[in-house]
Amino acid sequence: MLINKDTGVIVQGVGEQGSFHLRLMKEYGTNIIAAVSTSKTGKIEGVPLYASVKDAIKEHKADFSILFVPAQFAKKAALEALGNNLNIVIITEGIPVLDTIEIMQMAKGKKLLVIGPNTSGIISPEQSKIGIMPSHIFRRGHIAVISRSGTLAYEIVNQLTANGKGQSIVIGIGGDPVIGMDFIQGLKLAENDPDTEAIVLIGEIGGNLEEKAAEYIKNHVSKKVVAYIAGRATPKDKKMGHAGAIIEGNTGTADSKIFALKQAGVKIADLPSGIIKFLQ
Amino acid sequence: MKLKEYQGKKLFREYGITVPEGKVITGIQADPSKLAKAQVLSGKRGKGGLIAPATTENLERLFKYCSEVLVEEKLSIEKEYYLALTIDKEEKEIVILFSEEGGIEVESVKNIMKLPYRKLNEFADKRFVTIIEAMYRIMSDYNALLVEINPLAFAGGKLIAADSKIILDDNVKHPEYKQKLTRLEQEAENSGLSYVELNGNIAIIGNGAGLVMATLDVISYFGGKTANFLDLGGGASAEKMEKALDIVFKKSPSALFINIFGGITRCDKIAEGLVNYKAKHNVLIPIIVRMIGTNEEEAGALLAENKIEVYNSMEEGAKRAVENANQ
Repeated sequence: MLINKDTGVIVQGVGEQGSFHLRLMKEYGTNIIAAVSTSKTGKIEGVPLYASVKDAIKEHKADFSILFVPAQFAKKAALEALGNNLNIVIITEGIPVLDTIEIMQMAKGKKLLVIGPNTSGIISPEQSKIGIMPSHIFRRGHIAVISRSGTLAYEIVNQLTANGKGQSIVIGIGGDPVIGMDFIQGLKLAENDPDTEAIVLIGEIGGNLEEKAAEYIKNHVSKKVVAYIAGRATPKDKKMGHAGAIIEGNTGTADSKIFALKQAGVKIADLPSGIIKFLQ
Repeated sequence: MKLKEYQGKKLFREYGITVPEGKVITGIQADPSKLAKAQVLSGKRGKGGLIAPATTENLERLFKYCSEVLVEEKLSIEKEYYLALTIDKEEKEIVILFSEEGGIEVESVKNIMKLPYRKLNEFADKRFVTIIEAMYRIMSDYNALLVEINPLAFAGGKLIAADSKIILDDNVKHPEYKQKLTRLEQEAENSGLSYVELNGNIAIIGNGAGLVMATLDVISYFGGKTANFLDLGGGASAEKMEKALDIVFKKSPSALFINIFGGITRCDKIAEGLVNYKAKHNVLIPIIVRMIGTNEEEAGALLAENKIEVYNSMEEGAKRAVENANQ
């Protein structure tokens, strides 16, 4: 899978949120090897602090960096991590889209993975968590969950766990208009993962990621896919919290996404609780 | 955030793109030799009769739809093009979109050519290059996600931007342009709450955009109508919860449904905010709470003490809220 117990992780940005989640990730068993701070020195929760990514990875092997850096500094931090060949998880919300595309261009050139921005992160239950999700709801198992929203993924994962359906991986792809890893990359990963038996896709209004995913599922996914699409009751031209969640003109409607996914043989849950019913 | 046509054209002019002579009026000033264009944000203005000669009769009609009308010289257009700069979300880069057939709805524009902006030197027709460069500068200076000219008119030997459509990035603040927010939406924004006013009678408070969107859907599934979208965001304090309650109650809803999945958000803080608010105000409508996750036991105890019923399932809670609102 994408991440496991041995995946080395550094944390960029150890303000209130960053240091809080550094502790929670460490408690979960994530292999946090170092943290980067432009203002603090010494150690935080037993993790050594460095002034730069380059210094941080000199003595420790890292694969991922997780960013809690404020939006206006996020591009610089992300480029620094990518420049040092790290995959990145960007928790930060509100990064200018033009900054995001610069980050994505660099990642593309170096064939590195970007998860987010505006994501809750990724978790491989009982192995490693690179994110901010509440640990206690996850159990190791065989369902892959890929979601644009963090909290809605928690809602559905909680129901999966309560019904004995553990998860192989849960990926928050993020709520911004431009994101790195999308449904297609997540589906590819889940399809090729021997540990994954079925896939839950949690989409929402705005953009066309779900329609693209439907096209991909039709041609490349053999495993069972079930989906929930949020925003059916949302009026046009109203941005619903996520910067990417807006219906503009006739594009991005829940109906268009549901139609495309159904055409691809995906079972659509009308209520969040419908997901578990399709998996039993 | 979308800019109005005249706001976009003002930027075009500043960046050296030719636009028709014109002015914005807010009251009737008829001049039938000129064209009147309603400054509304929706597309299809031509089809909807919102672009018409500036006669008194037409202006009276246009002012029913908007408070600002752009009055412009009529162009003798020889040819219309479509030209836009936007972000290709798959390739994650800025692209030029161009068509020889402009002036119609973009969805129906045929033969659109797409070229990454970094390959601008490959753009065959050099007449357009300075305009594209100016559009790019607008895009970077104003954090725009779309800069569109449709049609870009060829008239009197010149290329003239006959219309403008600019969408700015909502992740960046644009204090120079006033967003069309309701009073409550403005109040919520000032308090760091994500709030959208809707037309129903069931108030909603939740945490996380996706979960709140799903909450609206579930309420609607059970036949209810929501009064608002309100996302507390992550890690809300008791004070923030009180502020949220203050805002949703201003619309006099007939029921309130609170749906919290505690992660970074602590259920006990939300419960504390609710109890504090109830102690200070005379709340007469039913409040239905669904709360699970971080510190749910403490929250449950506090709410039980104050005789507030708590549900474990969001769907049961939503159903109960709809029943209560209909009583």
